[in-house]
Amino acid sequence: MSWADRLWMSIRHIRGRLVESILVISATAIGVALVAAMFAFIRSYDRQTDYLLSHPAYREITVEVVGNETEITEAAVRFDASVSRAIALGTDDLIRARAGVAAVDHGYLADADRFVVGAPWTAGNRTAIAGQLGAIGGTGGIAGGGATGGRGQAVGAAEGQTRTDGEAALTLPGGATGGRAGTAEMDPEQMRAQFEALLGTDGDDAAVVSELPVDAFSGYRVTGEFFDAYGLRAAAGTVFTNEDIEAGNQVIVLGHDLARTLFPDSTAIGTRVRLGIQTYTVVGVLAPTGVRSIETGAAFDRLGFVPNAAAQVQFAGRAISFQRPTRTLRFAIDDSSRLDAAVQQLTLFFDSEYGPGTTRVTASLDALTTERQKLSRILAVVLFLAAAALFIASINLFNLMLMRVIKRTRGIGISRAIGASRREIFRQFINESACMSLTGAAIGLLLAPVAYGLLRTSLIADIGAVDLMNWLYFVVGAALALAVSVLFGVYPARQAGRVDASLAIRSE
Amino acid sequence: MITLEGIAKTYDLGSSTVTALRGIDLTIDRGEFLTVMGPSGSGKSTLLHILGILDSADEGRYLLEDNDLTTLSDAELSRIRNEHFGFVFQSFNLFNEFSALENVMFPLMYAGVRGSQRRDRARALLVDVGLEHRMGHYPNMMSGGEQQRVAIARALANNPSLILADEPTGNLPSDKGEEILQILEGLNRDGVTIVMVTHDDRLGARGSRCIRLRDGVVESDTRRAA
Ligand SMILES: Nc1ncnc2c1ncn2[C@@H]1O[C@H](COP(=O)(O)OP(=O)(O)OP(=O)(O)O)[C@@H](O)[C@H]1O
Ligand SMILES: [Mg+2]
Repeated sequence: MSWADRLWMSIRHIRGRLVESILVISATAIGVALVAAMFAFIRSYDRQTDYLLSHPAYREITVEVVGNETEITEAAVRFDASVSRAIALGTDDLIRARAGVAAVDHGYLADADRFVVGAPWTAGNRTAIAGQLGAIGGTGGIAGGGATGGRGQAVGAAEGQTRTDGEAALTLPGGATGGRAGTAEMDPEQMRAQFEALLGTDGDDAAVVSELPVDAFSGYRVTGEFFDAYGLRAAAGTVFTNEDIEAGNQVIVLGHDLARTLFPDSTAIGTRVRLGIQTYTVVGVLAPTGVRSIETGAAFDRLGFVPNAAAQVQFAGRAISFQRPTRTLRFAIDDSSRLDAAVQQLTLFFDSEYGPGTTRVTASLDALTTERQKLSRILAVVLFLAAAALFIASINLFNLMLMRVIKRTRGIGISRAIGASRREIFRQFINESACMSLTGAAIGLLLAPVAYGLLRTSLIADIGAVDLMNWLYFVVGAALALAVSVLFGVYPARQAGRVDASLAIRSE
Repeated sequence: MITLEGIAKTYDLGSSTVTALRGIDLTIDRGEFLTVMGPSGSGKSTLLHILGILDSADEGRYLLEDNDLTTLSDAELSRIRNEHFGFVFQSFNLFNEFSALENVMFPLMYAGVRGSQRRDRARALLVDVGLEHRMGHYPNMMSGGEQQRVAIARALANNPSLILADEPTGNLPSDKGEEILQILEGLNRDGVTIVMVTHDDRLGARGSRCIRLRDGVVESDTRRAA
């Protein structure tokens, strides 16, 4: 009997009992879909984990002031706040820690930001903006700088830091100690005039690009060693250094794709662009890189990078810095086996600087590891459930086939009488159950991406870096599930082969 | 053609045993029309199943054309059943999920006859038994006589040399039974050996030889003068 004949018989028998067959096929499809989806999913998950482990962000160690969290998700009542407000981490901490902690290879600031493209200054908008700044200043957004030469200069005073939370704060460095004194003395109208004068000094308007193809783009405010730590190098021009930042150079480095977008026809280097109220000169365009932001998934190729420091301009006879507050110092190591040593040394350093317990040193890898362990456990449970679904479907198939063997016992006897061997009977039944398994597996394979999508959206964030759809793994998973399903057909088919023909024919 | 030597068959019922056949010696010659008679439970069906190698004896030897069948594998025995034997049963035993034509095609399928050849042969067989108008019908749409004729067509699919019939007319009214018997007689005239179990003395007398079983032994063996 040929394979095609057996298939024909199987189809006839399945059609003869269509409803129960469809139910079993559906159950198998679901089981196969879940197993295949889990198979592909675990593969993606592993690849994502590998990607994250190799990501520069996970060679980072962050240092933060304890109790300085301003997220609303944090407990509102924090009695240690008074302690933390006295401490503000800044670039000078970075510099001293780099000098004092041997295990660390890079130290930098990196704060995500969004840059809104502004028009070149004109007499009209200058007045308007100065008016807005004056209004902000009047409500206390401008703070008199902290201790001279101290850590306050680069980061802004504690006052501005806690209140503005991400808004640009204005710092008057080297000025009066004593917090708000500087603002309290100035009325809004006076301040507006001052600002107008200030903005008017902002160099050569004509050189600023007046039109860019985008309204805004994302990026980071960073310091020099960020580029080393992330392995970013300039394809054209140069990346900026800590010296540039100290000198107060308003420069920007563009990601490869961003440069193409902003300047499709001309070279970007040397161009001046206005972002917010600041004018930047493009000094470098990065070579293409595979790095993406861990937080947003954005490709670094599409980001811009500006100095994370005070934008110093002369204002009322003094230098004034525009700056967003820094909460987190970042250190990185090139060799992750030194991670523990680096964490230890940094903890020691900051404890001796500010006293034990005032700063928190965290290896982001630890957070990743913890998160991944939790996820792995969830995945294990989901995998177990998927396997259970397949198992139950297979048991249903098993029962169905066993029932059919019993119902068709007489038919088996007849087949044997007209020339079917035990082996042939076995093959007929295994063919029939395999037909149902295969149909189920085929449908399951089509459903697998849907199940996969559900798993992914509910379990891991798409960081965009890993190609998450891998048909090979779907197919391998489905094939494995199919094998399981087929295996469950073996026992009933063997029972069919064992039927005593003589007895079967006598049975009425 | 077939020689049985000391064939015995005992069924084990767990607590007790039933001896269906005890020491059957029987030689069947090519071209015989052998009828098997005897009271219910005397072992007629058991003997027929052993002759058709659907069942195996506990004791004794089975020689088919001087070949001892006891040493053959299941696949080889199945092939012999398929190619050399044809079964006809009292209760027709057709596959109810398949049409008359498909039923007749099964033995051809097991023999490896392909496609259109298989179909043509099955059609011809059904025409021979007078069912050219019932080919696509399913067994439960046919009368008993028609079903039995399909069964005979199926038994003849591979040109068997031996037909084993277990009360083929038992479920049929006498006129339909007569039709079946005439078909079998016609086959016998064409040289097919026939072994037929029957309860009907008149039918038993129609064969060329009649054996009577009682309690698993051959009680009498009479040949009719040709
Ligand atoms: N599978 C079995 N298990 C146990 N006993 C069996 C089995 N098959 C047959 N027998 C017994 O063997 C004996 C012979 O049975 P068999 O079917 O050969 O009789 P028979 O002559 O064909 O009877 P009938 O005319 O009623 O068909 C009977 O006593 C029967 O009960
Ligand atoms: Mg009987």
